Amino acid sequence: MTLPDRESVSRRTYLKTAVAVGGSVGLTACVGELTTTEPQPDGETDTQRVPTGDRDSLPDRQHAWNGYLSQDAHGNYEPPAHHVLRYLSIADSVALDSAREQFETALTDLESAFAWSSDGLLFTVGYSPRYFTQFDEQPALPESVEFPEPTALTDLESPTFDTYELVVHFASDRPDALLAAEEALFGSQETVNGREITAISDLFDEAESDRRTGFVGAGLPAENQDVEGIPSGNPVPEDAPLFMGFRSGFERTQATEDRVTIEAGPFAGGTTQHISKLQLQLNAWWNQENHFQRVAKMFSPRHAAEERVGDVGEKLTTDSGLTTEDISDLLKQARDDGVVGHAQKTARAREDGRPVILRRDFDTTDDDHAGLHFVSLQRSISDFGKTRAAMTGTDIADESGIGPRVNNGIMQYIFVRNRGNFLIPPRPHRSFPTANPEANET
Amino acid sequence: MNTQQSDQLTRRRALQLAVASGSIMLAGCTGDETEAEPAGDPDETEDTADTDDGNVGESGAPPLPQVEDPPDAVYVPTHVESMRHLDPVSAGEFEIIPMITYPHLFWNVTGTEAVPAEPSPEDDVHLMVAVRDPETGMILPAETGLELTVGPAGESGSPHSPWPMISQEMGFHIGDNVPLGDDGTYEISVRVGSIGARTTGEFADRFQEAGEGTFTFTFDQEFREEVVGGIEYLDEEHWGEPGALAPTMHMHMGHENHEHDHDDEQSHDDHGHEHGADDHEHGHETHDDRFGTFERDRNVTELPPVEDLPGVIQETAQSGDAVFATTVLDRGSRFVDGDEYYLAVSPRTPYNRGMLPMMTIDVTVERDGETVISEELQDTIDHELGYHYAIEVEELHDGDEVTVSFPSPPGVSRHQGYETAFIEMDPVTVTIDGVSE
Repeated sequence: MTLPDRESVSRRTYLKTAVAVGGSVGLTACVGELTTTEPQPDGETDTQRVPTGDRDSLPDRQHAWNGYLSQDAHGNYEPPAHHVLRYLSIADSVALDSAREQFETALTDLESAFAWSSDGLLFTVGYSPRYFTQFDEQPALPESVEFPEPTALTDLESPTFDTYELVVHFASDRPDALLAAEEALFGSQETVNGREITAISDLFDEAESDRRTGFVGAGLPAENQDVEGIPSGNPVPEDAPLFMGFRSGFERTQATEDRVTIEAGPFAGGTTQHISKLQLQLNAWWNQENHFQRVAKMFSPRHAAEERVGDVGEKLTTDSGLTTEDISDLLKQARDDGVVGHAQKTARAREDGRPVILRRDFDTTDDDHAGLHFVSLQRSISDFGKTRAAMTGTDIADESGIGPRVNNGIMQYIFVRNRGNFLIPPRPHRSFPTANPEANET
Repeated sequence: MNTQQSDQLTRRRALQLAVASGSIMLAGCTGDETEAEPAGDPDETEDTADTDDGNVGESGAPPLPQVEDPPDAVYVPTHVESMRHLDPVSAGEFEIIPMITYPHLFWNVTGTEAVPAEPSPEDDVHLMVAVRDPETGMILPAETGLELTVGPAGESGSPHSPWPMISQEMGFHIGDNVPLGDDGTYEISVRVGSIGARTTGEFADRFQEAGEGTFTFTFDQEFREEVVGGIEYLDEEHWGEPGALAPTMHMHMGHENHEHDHDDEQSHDDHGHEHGADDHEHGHETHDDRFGTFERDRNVTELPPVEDLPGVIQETAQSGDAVFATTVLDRGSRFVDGDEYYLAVSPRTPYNRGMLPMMTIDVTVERDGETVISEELQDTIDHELGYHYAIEVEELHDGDEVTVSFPSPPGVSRHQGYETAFIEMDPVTVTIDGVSE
């Protein structure tokens, strides 16, 4: 991917593309853009104004982001706009015990350089099942962690399994902060936001790495819809935070951070992370379905009939507007209406009225194709599996005229390309943990 | 709304086709038929009906007139579709039959509504695949997550999950209007998911694994001229009359002719449709064979004629213009594990005997005024019965009233001539007769 001609695209698109391009080229473009378009009276560049952090005040939970995010008028947490996933594997030559401190120092430097917030930088470090196979522990991980290798979750998919040893999920509203952090850790930039950062690129095997990027929030999908998978004519509404055109991630349709946190054992305070790379094919979604059908498929047929949603979900406040009947009468609705909604199906996996997974997903134009990096946090990977099974709705398809894809929520429009499972340890164990860190320390 | 959006006739495809259309469009028609008003949208009539000035519609979608106020039944459409058949390719246990034509209007079914899906500005082709079993030649209900990846040869391509669809000529297939891009060679890889229907007989334990296959297709002016030029418009007097275009896709397939080993002599009334001339040469060599209500030869249809079904065949019913054949297999047949009866319902399109997947079918059995069974039928494929819906039943007696109801009509998309049929479907009742006791 290369940067577009500055004059040919909007500022938002240019910044988003800078994130996707990454590296020093992306960073330079980003800083240049922010500096030239937002001159500060005192001559400081915008990038210098990214708030710095106080790393001593940070919670043990790496995934405790909610308290540091902005909230909308209804109290829904607003996810950071820009995201990068860095998939990494540790170089063969690196001895973990000696590298651990270097890695931790780098992460600590970063936390001092940037405030732990959407204005600054949020990140998590997660480790794959493969990472833990290097330790001799049997079983590889304590029983308090339910964390298998990824598998195909439906008959409809043949995903590539991400077996990188770790993944760092960076998120920020500030593309310059996000890119500067990456450049400091993995590139050539030594100082960011006035702080020196320990470089760690020597720890990783460059041949076995990947970088995925994306964005979420009103305006960004609309600005970036000129890609494969989305028909021309700019169908994605300006107000839509995601390519499919509707709001999601309402406060009540997310698990709480408590619910997704591992409660016992050496990884207490951690969580598990499932990341799937989905391609979206929205030609028929935008060209052949009408708004009624899109609402029926995203939420429920009753949502469509009763006009509960609005154009992009603006009629919804803190939840997706499901009634108890929408969930309990799913099969009946499937048989009566010939269509079921994504939200009503997925809601069957709720416990005590709330989902058991916390979504931190975002759209992407990686590979010049519309897509979604579905990042989900949950106490155990089986919570994700259970939620995905509810969403897949094989049981509904088996007992009604609904197909595995057709008229089955949004199953017709998403294509799973990759799956990976990761363990996000609590902050004290986030740097190259052993399989049973506390036991090893004593 | 109509298929044509000539107000958008500004794109490259329109230019490319304009060259061809002046002569070729007319060559495919006779006289004034092309002037016919597309029904149902008076606002666009002037723009859409006028082929003489090279109006081929947006994105190469040719002007295809619609039948005004079609009956709630299978009807003769305005034209015979034209398409390019590509060589079948193998995909694991499956064989894929690719067919490609111009983008055109079809209808998607949500519940009991058929919603028109217009070709959009960037759609370049209507891409179809049928999936068959190479061993028996039977078309399979491969609606379970078939996925296409379409892109220029050698590039990664974009995934599509097309609509399961029925058409009079092609029967059951999976298809969609798809954007391609510039002229050139395109590679289409097909992932056929495992078959969701229960499998019996020679199909038992088959089709449980996904299969993948790839074909290529050259998108160019020659293709567009071929498919648009191949459209045959029917005489307007036949538009909308009961009947269907004859199946063409299965002509060369050579269904195996399984023996008709009925163990009884009972004859079956015909099922309410005219039997025309019996020994047709099937094809479009003669005008009369292209469409109508005549009974199709058994080797050109997806499902066997009612009289060829195994078991004790019950009276045939109709609902929503679909024909429902019902048969009862005696206790302990190969369809059941124990000594149950097997009650099978075989819904099919009239005339063409096409299969109707993605239905919800419930049955209740009443005996002496009391409901003794109330269940949903399971869709099943069998080498003799073909695609059908069935249950095992412990007891069945002569005089039992079997009521078949349809909570969901076939959720398959429709080509012209099928969009008003198989939608509103009232329950039908069959009285069991001739079951051994």
